Amino acid sequence: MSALDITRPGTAPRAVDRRLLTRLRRHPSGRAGLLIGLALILFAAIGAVWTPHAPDAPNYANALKPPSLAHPFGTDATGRDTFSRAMNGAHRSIGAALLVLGAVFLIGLLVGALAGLAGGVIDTLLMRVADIAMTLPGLVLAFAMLGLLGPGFVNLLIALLIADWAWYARLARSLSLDARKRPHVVAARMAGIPRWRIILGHILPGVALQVGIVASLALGGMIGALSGFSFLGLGVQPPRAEWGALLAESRLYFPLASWLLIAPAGLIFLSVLSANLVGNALRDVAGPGEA
Amino acid sequence: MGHGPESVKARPDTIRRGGLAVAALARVAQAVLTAVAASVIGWARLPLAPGDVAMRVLLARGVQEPSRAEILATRRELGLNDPLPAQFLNWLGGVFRGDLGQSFTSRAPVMQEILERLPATLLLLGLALAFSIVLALFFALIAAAFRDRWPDRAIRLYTQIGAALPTFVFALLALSVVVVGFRMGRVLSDATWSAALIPAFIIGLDRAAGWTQLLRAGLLKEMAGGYAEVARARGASERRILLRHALPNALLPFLTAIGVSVGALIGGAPLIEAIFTWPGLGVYLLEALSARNYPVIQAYVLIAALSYVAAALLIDLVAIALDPRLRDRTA
Amino acid sequence: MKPVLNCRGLTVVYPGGATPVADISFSVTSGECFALLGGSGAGKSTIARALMGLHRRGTSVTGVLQLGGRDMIGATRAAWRTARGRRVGFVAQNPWAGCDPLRPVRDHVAEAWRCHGLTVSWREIAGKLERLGVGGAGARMVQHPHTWSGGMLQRASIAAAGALAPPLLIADEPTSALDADRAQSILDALRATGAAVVLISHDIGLVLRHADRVGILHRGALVEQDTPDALTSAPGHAETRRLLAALAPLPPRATCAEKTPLLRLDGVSVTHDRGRVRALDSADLGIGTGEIVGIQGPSGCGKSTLLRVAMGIERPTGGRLWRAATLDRPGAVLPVFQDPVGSLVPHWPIWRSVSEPLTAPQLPRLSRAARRDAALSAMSRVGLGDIDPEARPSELSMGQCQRAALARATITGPVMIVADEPTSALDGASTWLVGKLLRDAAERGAAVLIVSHDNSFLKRMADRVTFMEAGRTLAVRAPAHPRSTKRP
Repeated sequence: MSALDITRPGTAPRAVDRRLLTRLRRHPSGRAGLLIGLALILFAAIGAVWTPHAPDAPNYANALKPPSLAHPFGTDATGRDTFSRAMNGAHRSIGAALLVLGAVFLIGLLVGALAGLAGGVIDTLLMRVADIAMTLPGLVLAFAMLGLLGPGFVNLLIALLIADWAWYARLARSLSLDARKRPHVVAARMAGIPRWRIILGHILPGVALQVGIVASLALGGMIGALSGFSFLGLGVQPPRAEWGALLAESRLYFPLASWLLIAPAGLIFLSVLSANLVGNALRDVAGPGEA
Repeated sequence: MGHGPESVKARPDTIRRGGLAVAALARVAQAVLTAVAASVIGWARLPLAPGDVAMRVLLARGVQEPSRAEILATRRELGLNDPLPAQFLNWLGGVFRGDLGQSFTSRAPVMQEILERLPATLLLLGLALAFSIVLALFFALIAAAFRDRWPDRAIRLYTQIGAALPTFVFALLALSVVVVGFRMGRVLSDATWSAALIPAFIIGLDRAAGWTQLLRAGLLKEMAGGYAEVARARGASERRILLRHALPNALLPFLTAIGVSVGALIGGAPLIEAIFTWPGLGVYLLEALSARNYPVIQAYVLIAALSYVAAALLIDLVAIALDPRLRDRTA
Repeated sequence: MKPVLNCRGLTVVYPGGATPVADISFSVTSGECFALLGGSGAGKSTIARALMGLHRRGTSVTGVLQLGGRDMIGATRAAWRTARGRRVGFVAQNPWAGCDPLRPVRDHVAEAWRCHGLTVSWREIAGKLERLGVGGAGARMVQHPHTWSGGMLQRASIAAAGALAPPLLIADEPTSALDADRAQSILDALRATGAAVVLISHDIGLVLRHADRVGILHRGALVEQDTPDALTSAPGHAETRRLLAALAPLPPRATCAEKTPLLRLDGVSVTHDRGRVRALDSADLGIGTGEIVGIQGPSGCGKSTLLRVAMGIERPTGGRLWRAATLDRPGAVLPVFQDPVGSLVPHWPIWRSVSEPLTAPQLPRLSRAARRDAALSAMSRVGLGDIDPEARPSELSMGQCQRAALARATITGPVMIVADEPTSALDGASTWLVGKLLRDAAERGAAVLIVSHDNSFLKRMADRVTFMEAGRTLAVRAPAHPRSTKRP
C-alpha cells in the first residue's frame, strides 16, 4: 500500500500454475535456457556412445585441417576430428558438473538441515568443520586438495566437492533456522504434529528449493571450474577428450589454427549460458512465497 | 504489496551504541582466528600427504635409492618424529621467522622463491581488480541511469555474454584476437606494468560482467525503494537520487560480493597466469603440483588464505565505516 | 475558498491498457483535510502518484489536475520537479523506509531544501523539528534514522515535507507503521504545518475521526464524498456501507454457562540472554473457558512473550504459572498469527493447511478425502466456501488467508485459541469478520486470548482487556461496549 503499489483493480487474480516446471517453461529466458540445456544433454548422451569419427585415434595425414564438410570444426595437430572430440568430451564436462553439483547440493542440504534442526553439539561440531573449510576460497581449497590427492578426473571431482559443500551447508542451516520460526511451523507444532513430519512437510521443501536455486545459479561456475582444471592438466588426462582439455591442446596451435578454439569455447559458452538462464528464471518464478 | 504495514520490525528493539572502534576490533579479532584456522589447513597438507615425506625429500634431492639410515636421518632432520602439535608449532614458528621450508625440487628456501614471484602476481591481480571495479561502476551507473533504453540493453547483453564465459575461456579468446588479430606477438610474459595492462584489462572486463549485473540490480532496487520515492516527491532529480542515495546504499552489498570474488580471483590465479604465461605464484604452484612439491603447495595455500582473510577484513572494515547500522549491531 | 487542489475527470491509464483510476473529480481547499478511503487495489496510491507527477514512464494521465491554480496535466518533467516540494509535499507510510539509512536525520530534512538548490542552516532545521514536537532536536538530529522511534522520525518527515511551505501535503497511510496511540499526534503534526492534507488510508476509524471530508474509492472510481457525519448517517453507496460495516457492533455475547479456569499467571517474569534482557517483568493473567481476554500495549512491552508463555512454548523464569491439564494435550492450544500468508504452508493447497490439525497422531486417523471434506466445511464456515481449495496462500488476499488460518485454528475444537495481532494486516471489513469468528469460537466454549494494539477492536471484542507496559501488566478492565461510532 505504499506509493509503489502497482496493483491493477478490476483484473481477476492471475491464474498461477502451481507446478514449478510449467512456470519455468513459460518464463521466456527460462524456456530458452531449458531448450539449450536439453539439446546439450542430448548431444552429450549421443557423444558418449557414438561420434562421426573416432575421437581419440590420431591420423597424422589429416593434421590441422581447417573446417570442411567432413570436419565442421577442423582437425587438430594429430589429425583428430575436433567436432567428434568435443562431442565425446561433452558428457565429461556437463555430466561431471551436474554430478558434483548434485552431490554438493545433497550433502549441503542434509548437513545444513541436520545442524539447524538438531542444534546443540551436532550443530556446533558440523558448523566448526564447515567454518574451517570456508576459510579458504573454494578454488584454493580445490588446488590444495589436488596437491594432496594428485591430478586426475576423479580426484578433481572430489576436490571440488570438498571445496564447495560447506557453503551450501551454511546456507541450508540458516534457512532451516529461519523456517523453524515461521508461523506455519509453530502452528503445526502447537497442533501436535510430530517433529519428523514437520521437517519433511513444512521445512525441507522450502529449504531445498532455495538451496536448489543457489545451486542452479552456481552450475555455470562449476562447468567453468571443471574445464579450467582440465585445461591445466589437473583433471581429465589425455588422450581423453574434455572441453577444457581440448582448449589446452589447441592453445599451442591457435595462431595457425584458430578454428580449434571454436567448438570447445562455444560449447562451454552455451552450457554456462543455459545454466545461468535456467538459474535466473528459477529464481524469478519461485518467488518469495515458496520459501 | 498491500500486505499490510511494514510493521515495527524495521526498528531495532534495543539500541546498543558502540561506535566504530569496537566493531572494527571485533572484526579484526575474528580475522586473526580465521587466519589461525587457515594456517592449520595449510600445514595439514604435509602430514596428510600419502607416502613417506622423508623418502620424497631424498628423491627430490637426487638420492636415487636412499638407504634406511638416510631416511631415518632425514626424518629426524625434518622433525617428523615429533608429535603432530609440536610439528605444527615448529612450522608456525618458522612461518613467523619467514621460514616456509625448503623446496623439494630446487632446494632453495620456499620463502625466497615466493618473494621473487609475488610482485608479478600482485601486479596482475591488483590491476585486474582495479579494472573490474572501475568498469563495473561505470557500466552499472550507465545502465541504471538509462534503464531499458539502448545503453542499458547493450550493457545487459555484455553482462550476459561475460557471465556465460568462464574467465579463462574469455582470456583465451581475447588473447587469440590480440595476438592473431592485432599481430602483437608474444610480448606478454615479462612482469612489467606495460605488459600487465592487456591481460589485466581482459580479466577485468570478464570479471566486471558479473559485478555489473549485481550492482545494476542493486541500484535499480534502491532507486525503487522508499527513500528514493520520497526524495523524488521532494523534487530531487534522478541523477541526484542515483549518485547521492542509491549508489552508497547499493555499494554495501556490492562490497561483500567483491570480497567473495577476490577469493575467486586468488583461486583463479594459476589458470590466468598459465594462459598469459605470466611468471607469478600461480605458475609456481602448478609446477609444484605436478612435482608434488609439498612445502611449496603448503606455502601457497597459506599465502592465499592470508590474503583472502586480509581482503575480507578490509572490505568488512570499509562496510562498518560506511554503514551506521553495522556499527550499532556488532558493538 | 480557493482550492489548492482541483481534479476533474482525472484518469490514469497504464502502458498495458489497465485503467487503475477512472474519471475522478474532487477538490481540496486550503487548510482542509481530505481523506481518500478504500481497500487495497482501490487506486489510492495511483492517485497519490498522479497528484505528484510520479507515475511511471508511459502512463497516461488525462483530465484536469490543478495544483494551486496551475494546470499540471501535460506539464514537463522539469515543471513537475519544481512543483514537488514547493506546491505539493509528501509523507510516506513507513518513516524508516523513507529515509536514506546511511545519512543522519538532519540530512534527510535538509534534502528538501538542497535538492532545489537552496541552502538551510542546521539551526533552522532544529527549530522546525522542535516546533513539531521533537524534543532536543539539535542533538538528536545528528543520529541516524534507525536509532529514532517511528513517531519521532515521522515528525521529521513531516518537517521535510513542509520545508518549502507547500499549500498541500499528501500523506500515504502516515500512521499505519506506528503504534495506535501515536496516530493522533502525527495527524496533529500534519495539520500543524498549516497545509491542506490529502490523507490516504484504509483505516475507516482513523479517517472518520480526523478528516474534514472523506472520499470513498472503489475499483478506481470515487463513488462518494462527503463529511464523516453525513457518510455515517446516510451512506449512499454499497462500498461505503461495506466499509462502515467494519465499525458495526459485534453480535452481543450470550451469557456463557459454567466458566472453568484454564490458565493463571501470578507475577510471571521471563528473562532472555542469561538474565540480561527482561522480556517480561511481572505479569498477571487469568482466563477460563468461553472467555475472551485482550492484551494491549505499545510495541516491545512484552505482549508477545506473555502470549508465548500462555501457549506453553516459553518457560517463565520467575513467578507462578498454572495451566489446566486439558491445555497440555497436543492440539489443545492453537495459534493465529499477525502474518496471515506466512501462517499457511506456502507450497500446500489451502485445504491441506486448514486440515493439518486433524492429522495429529493423537486424533483418530482420517482418510485424505474425509480431511478434505472437513477442511471444505471449515472453510465455508469462515466464508471461504467459494474459493478454490487447491489454491496456494500466495494466490489469496490477506483477509482470505487469515480466515483460512482461523478455520485451521477451530477445526479440531481447541480448548484455547491464542491470537497475536490477528488483524493488523487486515482492512476494516476483514477485521470485523475475524472478530466475529473469534467470538463464535468463544461461544462454542474456547478460551480466546488476543494480543493487539488496536484499541477499538479489543474494546468491541473482549470480555476483559489487560494493559501492558515495559513488561508489566497494569490494569484489567472490562471494556465499555461501544454504543455508537460517533467521533469524539
